[in-house]
Amino acid sequence: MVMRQIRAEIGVVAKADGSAMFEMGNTKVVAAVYGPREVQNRSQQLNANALVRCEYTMANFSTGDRMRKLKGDRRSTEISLVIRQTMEECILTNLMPRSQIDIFVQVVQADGGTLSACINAATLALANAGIPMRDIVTSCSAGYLNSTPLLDLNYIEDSAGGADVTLGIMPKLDKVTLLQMDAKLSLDTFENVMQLAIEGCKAVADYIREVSAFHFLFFFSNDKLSIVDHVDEHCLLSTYDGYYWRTQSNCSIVEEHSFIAWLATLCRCGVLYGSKLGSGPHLVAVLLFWILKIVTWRKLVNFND
Amino acid sequence: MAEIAPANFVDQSVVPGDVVLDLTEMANQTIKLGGGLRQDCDAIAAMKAGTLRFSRPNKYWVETSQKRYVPCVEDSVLGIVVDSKADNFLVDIKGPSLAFLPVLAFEGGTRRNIPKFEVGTLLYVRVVKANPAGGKAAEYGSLKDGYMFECSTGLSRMLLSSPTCPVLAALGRNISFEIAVGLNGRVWVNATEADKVIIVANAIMNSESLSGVQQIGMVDKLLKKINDLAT
Repeated sequence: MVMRQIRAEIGVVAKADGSAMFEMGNTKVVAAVYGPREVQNRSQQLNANALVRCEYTMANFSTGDRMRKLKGDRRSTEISLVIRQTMEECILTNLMPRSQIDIFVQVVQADGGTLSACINAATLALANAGIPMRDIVTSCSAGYLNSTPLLDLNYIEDSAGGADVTLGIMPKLDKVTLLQMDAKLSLDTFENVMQLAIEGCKAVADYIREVSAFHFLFFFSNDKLSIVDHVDEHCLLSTYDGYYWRTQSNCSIVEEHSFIAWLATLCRCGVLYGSKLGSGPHLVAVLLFWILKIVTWRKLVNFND
Repeated sequence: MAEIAPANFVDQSVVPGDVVLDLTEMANQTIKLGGGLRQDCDAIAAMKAGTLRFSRPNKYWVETSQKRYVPCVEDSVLGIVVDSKADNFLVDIKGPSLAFLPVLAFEGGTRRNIPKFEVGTLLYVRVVKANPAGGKAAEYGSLKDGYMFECSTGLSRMLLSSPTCPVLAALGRNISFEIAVGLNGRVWVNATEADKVIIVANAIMNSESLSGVQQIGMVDKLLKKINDLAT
């Protein structure tokens, strides 16, 4: 089964110790992690473990109709509790006694599957903050509509009345940390739907691994840069200084900023904004990427001598 | 769990949960595990996201770079005074909890003669005791004037590595400045003029993900730009 397109970015909140933005289709969520730091409320301090706190909020503009005051309402409190319990399972809290880890998750655009997106974003933010974890937690939702199991429901499919199973697993350890369902399902249908959700979670885990590896390419750069595209371990960036094609090899970064990178950016933007795959601009973009790869490969070879 | 040969993961980026070593196929060997790795029955798994490193003969660790600092004994760090209690100062070193700086750690410090550090003073201190509960810090001195900025722990480790880090060597050839690097991600720079301080600070912040040769190139470009503007 096919899930919606996922996209993630790490380090979006400069002030936080770790942060990430996660998108599943039209659902966009931002997570920020602060910690481990001094406990602010002495009475809640745990002597043997770290205290994990979590807060889930939805922005006013995140749903179709603008919402009024949403912080502290029952649904938010319940989802905050669920996220906290899920993440607490995977954080090694005994390594940081008497400290506090805060996870703030905010939904910027809601289109179904917000709980899953929040958990995925929180995992990435925790990894970015360097908090020791047993394993990453990935989450995906699945449902059952018109006798078909569906993966990664959006808002319309969710409100159609069928069941909605949200699953959170630790992929390498093969353990379930979150299992939540609305409505009713017979046991064998449930088995199918859960299996589908597990596959979805594993796909998210692969993507998260790729994004973490790729993050080292531009991490902590102070330039105002925006990533135009990335292909395997290369990425095309634009900064105020020019256009760059960056490759990482053995933790050194080779940059090629040039006319070719600028052309490639133009073509890629053309592809993003309307041209179809296989059309002129797309083919030119692919060709330019190949040229850039060869140029940087030659530079790398000279580098390592 | 799949069996992963160590060679596959060394120098690769790992994510928490990745099994990097399988102990069943390495009998009778002593392995030393550094930071970021954890033993789980027969497998060694990563706890943090970073790059796995191996140093002969048998040391494995995950190299990470974060904004938050984990206190270790004998680390030099830059702290900011947060509070002063009867016997010690509370110093913030960007770690899980505040550090205590005993008043008696200063030269010529007695109960009567308590050095006056206001809240907000920047200090260069050394971590003397770092159990998970909290760190005690022994003092090197307070840093006056200059400019302090924050960076990641990976960058501060690189600045302190020997031989001298290329960006500092390149800057030192052209500008005379004083620098104190804390392993907790804080760096203090002082020079005779403010613009020199800014150049040094910017050069260091830009050198996070660059290799040696690139750092020297970046410093040259920066200095050239400044000279062009001056003339």
